[in-house]
Amino acid sequence: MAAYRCLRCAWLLLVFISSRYVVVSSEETTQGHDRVSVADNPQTAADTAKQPLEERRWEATQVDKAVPDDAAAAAHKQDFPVPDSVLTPTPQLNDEFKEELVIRPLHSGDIYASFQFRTVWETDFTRGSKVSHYRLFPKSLGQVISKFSVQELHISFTQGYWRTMQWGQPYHPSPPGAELWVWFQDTVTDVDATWKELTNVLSGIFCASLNFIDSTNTVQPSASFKPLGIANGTDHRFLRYATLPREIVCTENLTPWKKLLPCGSKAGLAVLLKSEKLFHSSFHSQAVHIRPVCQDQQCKTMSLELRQTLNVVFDLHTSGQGKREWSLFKMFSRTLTEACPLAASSKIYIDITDNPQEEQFELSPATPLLSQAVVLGDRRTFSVYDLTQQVTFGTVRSLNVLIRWKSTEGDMLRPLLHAERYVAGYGLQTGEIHTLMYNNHPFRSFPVLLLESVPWYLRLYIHTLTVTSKGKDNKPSYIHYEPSKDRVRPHLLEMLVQLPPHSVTEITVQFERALLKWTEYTPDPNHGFYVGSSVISALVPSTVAMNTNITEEQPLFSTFFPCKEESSYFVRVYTEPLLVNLPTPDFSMPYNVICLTCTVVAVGYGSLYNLLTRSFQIEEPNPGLAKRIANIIRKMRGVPPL
Amino acid sequence: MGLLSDPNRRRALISLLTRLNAPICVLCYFAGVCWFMGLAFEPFTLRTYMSENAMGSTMVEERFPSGERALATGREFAAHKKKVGGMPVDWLVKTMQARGLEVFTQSFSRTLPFPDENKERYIVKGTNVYGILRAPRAPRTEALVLSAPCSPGDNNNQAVGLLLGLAHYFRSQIFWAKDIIFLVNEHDLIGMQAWLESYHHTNTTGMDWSPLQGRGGSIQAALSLELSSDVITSFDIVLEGLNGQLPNLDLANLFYAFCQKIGVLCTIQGKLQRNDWDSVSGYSHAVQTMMLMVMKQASGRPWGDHGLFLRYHIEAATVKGINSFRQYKTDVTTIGRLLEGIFRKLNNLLERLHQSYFFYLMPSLSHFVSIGYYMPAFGLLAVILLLRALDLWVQFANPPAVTADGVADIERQSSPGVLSVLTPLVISHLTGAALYFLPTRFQETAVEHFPVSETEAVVLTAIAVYTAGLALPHNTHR
Repeated sequence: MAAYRCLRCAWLLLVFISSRYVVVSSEETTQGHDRVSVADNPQTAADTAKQPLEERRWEATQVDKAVPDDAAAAAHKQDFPVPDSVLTPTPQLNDEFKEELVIRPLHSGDIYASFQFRTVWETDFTRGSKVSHYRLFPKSLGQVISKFSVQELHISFTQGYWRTMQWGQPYHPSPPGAELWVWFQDTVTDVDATWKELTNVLSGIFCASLNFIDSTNTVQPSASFKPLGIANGTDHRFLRYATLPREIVCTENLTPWKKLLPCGSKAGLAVLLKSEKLFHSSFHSQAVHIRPVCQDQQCKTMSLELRQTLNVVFDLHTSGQGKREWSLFKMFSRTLTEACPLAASSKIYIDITDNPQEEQFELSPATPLLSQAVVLGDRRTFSVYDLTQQVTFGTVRSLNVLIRWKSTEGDMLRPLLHAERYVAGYGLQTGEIHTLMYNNHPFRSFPVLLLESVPWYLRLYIHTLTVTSKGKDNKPSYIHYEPSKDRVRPHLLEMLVQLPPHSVTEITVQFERALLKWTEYTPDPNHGFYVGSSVISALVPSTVAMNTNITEEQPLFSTFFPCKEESSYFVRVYTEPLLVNLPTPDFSMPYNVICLTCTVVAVGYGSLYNLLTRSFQIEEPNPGLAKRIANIIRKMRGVPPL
Repeated sequence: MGLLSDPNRRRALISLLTRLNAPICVLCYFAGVCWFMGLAFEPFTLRTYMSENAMGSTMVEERFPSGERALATGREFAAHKKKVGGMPVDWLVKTMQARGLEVFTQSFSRTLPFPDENKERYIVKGTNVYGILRAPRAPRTEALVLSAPCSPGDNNNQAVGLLLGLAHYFRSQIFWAKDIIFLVNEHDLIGMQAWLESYHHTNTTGMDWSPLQGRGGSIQAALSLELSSDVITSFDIVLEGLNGQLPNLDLANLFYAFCQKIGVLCTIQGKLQRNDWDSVSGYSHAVQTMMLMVMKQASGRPWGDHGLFLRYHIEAATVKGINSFRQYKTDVTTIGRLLEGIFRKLNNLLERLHQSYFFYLMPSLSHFVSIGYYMPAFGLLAVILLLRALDLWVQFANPPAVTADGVADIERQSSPGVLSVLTPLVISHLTGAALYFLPTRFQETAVEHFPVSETEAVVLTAIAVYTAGLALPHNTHR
C-alpha cells in the first residue's frame, strides 16, 4: 500500500491541470485517503478563456498547497503531463493557514454550511525538542500535544443529530454530544494515566465536561479508528476512544474554539461565527483534528496539521418565514468584507451540482470560478468565491452570497448507507438493542465495521446477539468483544459485517438493566441513562463508480483509466444515542424506610423481646380481701398463712 | 403482644371476637363504605397541585393562530376520506410532508376472533400514518406523541385537521427539545396497538405489522385527541387505561391548569365540577364522578387510545371535545392554544413524569384522592374476611364445649381432613382454567355443529362450564 501511495505521489509531481484545481479532502478516511479529483468543467470553458491570467495565478498557489496536504496519505489520479513552470516550488513558510467555507443547499430546502480552518506547521514534537515559538498554531494545543505525547487528537462537540435521510452524508460526521479519540505516541508508558490527565486538560481548554471521561466510558477499539495521519504502528493499546452523549454544546464551547484560530473571530470567514445565529439552527457540530502529515512527497519532514471544522445546518421552516432564500447575512447575520490576512487561501464553495442550469436555485452574485471534486464518492461541482481577490467583494466591498430557491422541496434521500438504533421491549428489567443498517446500493454488497460501546449498567447478553439480513443469518467475519466490568469498564463490541445489496441488516442483542447503588444515580434518574452512538465505518461503493454510462459528457482524461481508487469511499455513520430508563427507586424511600424501621423496632421488637424473655408461670387465683387481711394478721402472729 | 401473652386476656379477646363477630363485621363493612363515600366529600379531599417542578408555573405563552385553517384542513381530510372510503394515506403523507415533517407509514393486519360488529369481517387491515417533527439540535432521544384516530364516518375529522394545523405551527417554532410525533391511526385501538408494538418491537397480541422506519427515541408523554365538531362547549379528559392503569396525576393537573388559564370548561367522566359541595346534589355529583372512575378502572379496558400507551410506561391521556347545548362555545383556535400550551409544558420536562401520584381517584378535576386515603376503606372491607376466617379457625380449634347431651364429642371425632379442603380448591382452580381456555377452544367446533354465531358460542360455553360445575357432587353436598 505504501509503495502504491508513493507511486501516486510521484504522479502528482508530474501532474498539472490546465484549468481549475480544487482540493476538497475528507479527513474521515481511516486509511487516510484524501481523494481528489480534478476535472475540467466544459460548461465554463468559455468563461475561463476570458480571464486566463487570473485563473493561472490562482491555480499555481493552489497546487503548491495541495502538495503537503495530499502527500499525507493521498491517492490521486491525474493522468496527463504538466507544464514545468508549476514544479518550481515557492519558498515554503514554516506554517500556513487556510480557511474555507462550503455551502451545500440540501434537498429538504435547508442549507448546510461547513467551515474548515487548517493550520499546517512544519515542526516535530515527537523528538522531544522543546518548541517555544508559536506563530499560527495555537500555543495552548501545542503544549498539550508535546506534554502528553499525543500523536493524533480528534475531538468533536455536536448538538443535534445528522439526518442522513434528509441531508445526505455530512463532510465531517460526528455523534451527538462530545467525542474524543486520541492516538498516543508509543513512547507513552502509562496510557491510562496520560489519557485521564489529557481529558482533564482538554476539559479546561474547551470548557466542556470532558473530565467525566473515565474508565467506565473509555474503550480501545481494535479496528474502527485507525490513525488518519502518518503513523508508524497501529497498536490499539495507544488508542483511547470515548463519547459523552449527554454533553450539551453551546457558546461556552464555541468561544474557546474560535480563540484557537489565528485571526480569532476578527477577520476572515470566522466573522460569520456568531453564536446567536449558529445556535439557531437544526444541527451544530464543531471539531478539532490534529494529526501529523508529510511535508513533502518524500515524507522527509513531518508537519503538524490542525483542522478546525464547524458544521451547521439551518432550517428552512424555522427561519424561512415564507421566503425560500438563503444569504450569508440571513444565515450568520454578517457579510464578508475581507479574508483573514494571515490566511494563504480563503474561499467559499457553493455546491451547485444539482443545479447546472439554475433550475433549482439561483445564485448571486455570480462567480466565474467553478471547480469539481469527488466528495463522498460523488463528483460535485462547486462555484468558488476567492476572498483573497478584491474582485470578489465587488463595488460594495462586501460579499453576501444569496441562494434563492426555485423548486419545492424534494423527497427523502436514499443514502447508500444509513443506520438507526432503538431500544425494544417494555418494562424495567430487560430490553433489546436493535441496530438497523441499510445498504441501498442496488447491486453491490460491502463490509461495514460496527462499534458498539455500551455502559456496564446495561448487562449485554452476548449469547443473544443475532445478525440477520434479508431474513437470513448473517455471520460476522470478525467479532471483537470485551465484556464489561461493573463500575470499571464498558462493553465493547466490534463486528465486521457484510451488508448484502439492497437490504436491511438487523443486529439485536438483549440486555438486563442493572440496579445501581443509590449514590450512583444521577440527580435526574428518571430522565434515563444515555448509551452513546454506535459507530459504523465502511468503504461504500461510490456513486461515480456506479455510473456506467460512458457516453455522458465527461472530461476525457478522467475516463481513460478505470477508476479504481474511486470505486469506493470511506464513510463513518453514527447512529442516534439511546436513552434507557433504569429501575429507579423512589428517592423519598430512605425517609419511609427510616420511619418504618423505627416503628417496627419500637413496637414490634420491644414486644417480641418481652415475650421471648419473660418466664411464664401459672398465677394463683387472687385470694379474697378477707383472706388477705387474715394472712397479714397471721404473718404478724408468726403463724403460717392460710 | 402483652395482650396476647396473657392467656386470660387472650381468651377474653377471642371470646369477644367470636361472640361479636357478626356485629364487628357489619360495623367494619359500614365503616369502610362510609369512609369511601366520605372521600367524595370535598373538605375531606386534597386539592390537586402540580408536583413536577419543570411544569410548575405557567410560563409558556400560547400563540396558535390558525384554527380556521385547521378546520379547512379537516374538511379536506373528510372529503378525501369519503373519496377513498377509509384512511386517505396518500393525502396524509403529502400534507404532512408539505408541513415539513418526516413522514412514514405503517401497515398492519389482525385476524379477529369474532367477526367485526358492523362489517362482518375477520381480518382488519389498515395503515397508520405518522410524521415526526425533528426537534432542532436534539439527538433523537426523547419524543412526545399527539395522535388522532381516523374514525369511520364523519367523526374526528376536526381532530385530524387540528393535528395537522398544530404540526404546521409547531414546525416553525424553534423551542422544541423533544421530537414530536403526529400520528393518525386507523381502526382506533387496533391501529394504536400495532403502532406501539412496532415502535417498541414487541408482539403481545399476535398482530402483523410492518416495521417502523422512523423513530424518535423514548416517548415521554402522549395525548390522543378526539374532536368531532367545529366548536365545543367543554373538554373532557379520559385517564383510565388498560387494566385500570392510570397516567401520572400531573398530566391531569396540566390539563386542568391550562383549561383554567385559557378559560375552557373541562370535565372528567363527562361531569363538570360543581361548587355546591355542601349540598346533597353537589355531593352526589362528586360521588357519581368518583364511582364512574372506579367502575371504568374495574372494567380493565382502555377508555381511549391513550390507554395502550400506559403499558410502555408512557404517560398518556385522551382529550375529547364535547359539543352540547350550552351557550358558551370554544373555537378550534382556543383548543389549539390549549394543546400548544400542554405540549410546550411537556417539552420542558427534564425527566419523565414521576413526581405525582400514579394511584388516585378523582371526585372532580380539582380534587383527588390518593392511594393513602382510599386504602383504609379497602382495608376495612378486607378485614372482614380476616375476622370471619379467624372465627372459623377458633371454632375448629376449640369447639363449643357447652353441650350437655354429648353432641359436641361426636363432632370432635370428625375433624376436617386435608382432603376435604383440597377438593374444593382443586375444583375451583379447574373451573377457572376451563373458563379461561374452553370458550375459545370450543368456539370453532360449536359453530360447525350448532346453529350459533361465534359470540354466542363463547357465551354458551361459559354457561356450560358453570352448569357442569353445579353438577359436581361437592357443590351439592352441603
